[in-house]
Amino acid sequence: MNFKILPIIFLLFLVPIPVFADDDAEDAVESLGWVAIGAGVVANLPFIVFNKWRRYAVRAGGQSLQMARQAVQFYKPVLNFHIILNSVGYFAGMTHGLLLVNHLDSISLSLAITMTVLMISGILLKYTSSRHTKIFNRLLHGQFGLVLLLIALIVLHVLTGDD
Amino acid sequence: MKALTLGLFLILTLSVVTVPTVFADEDEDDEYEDDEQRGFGETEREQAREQEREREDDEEDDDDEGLALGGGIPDAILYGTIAVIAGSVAYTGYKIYKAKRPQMKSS
Repeated sequence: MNFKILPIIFLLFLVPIPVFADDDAEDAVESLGWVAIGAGVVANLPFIVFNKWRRYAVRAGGQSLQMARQAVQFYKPVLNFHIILNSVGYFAGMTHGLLLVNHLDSISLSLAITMTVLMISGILLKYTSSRHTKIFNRLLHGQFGLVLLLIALIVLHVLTGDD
Repeated sequence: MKALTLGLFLILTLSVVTVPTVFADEDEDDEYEDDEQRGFGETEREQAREQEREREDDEEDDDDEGLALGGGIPDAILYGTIAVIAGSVAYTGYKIYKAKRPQMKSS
């Protein structure tokens, strides 16, 4: 493993801190929630688009296949970006939730559970050496239903958050 | 060794990120120090404390209502979420089981 990347990871974890520069405490905590949503969008959208395009290019064959083969070298950096930014988003979201735990409702709890399930499956997918656990988590992490559920819960949480 | 280094790095990162969260909360003592500078007396401060306590009690009552289980759309969403997650885990397990069964039969 290349340890030169560690300072960059450390700096990325500091991304949510500027939200505390705001005077109003409640606004700061709310901003932390928006940081979590923003990090999630930036982390997942390019990764999903890249993977879909690669799969489509391999299936199409010909020149697209050549391009897909050349794009293999970018897979690891895109994956690392996906993991790091999702971790930032997860911890920002959980801090936002812990600071507003007095206003806990069923939608927020559902969102926290879904985020945790996806995060744990992602961590196990990346770091486990067991073949069976890896296959299981690969399938679970890419479940379309879970992604849809997460998006729906985020939208509901934003809509009901001010109540 | 690598795992230990990574673990220590993660703990350091999390502690650095967690520290600023304490500043997100307003300090009550600071508030009262400001009051003294502005000339608020003991009675006004007690009244303010009383009002704040009442407001907190009201909020707690509201929270209790929000957390009550057994009815309402939000609770249905929570149960639905748990059902979807359990379903996804079960479906994933079933998919792996189905993919392995023909291999077991052929061997």
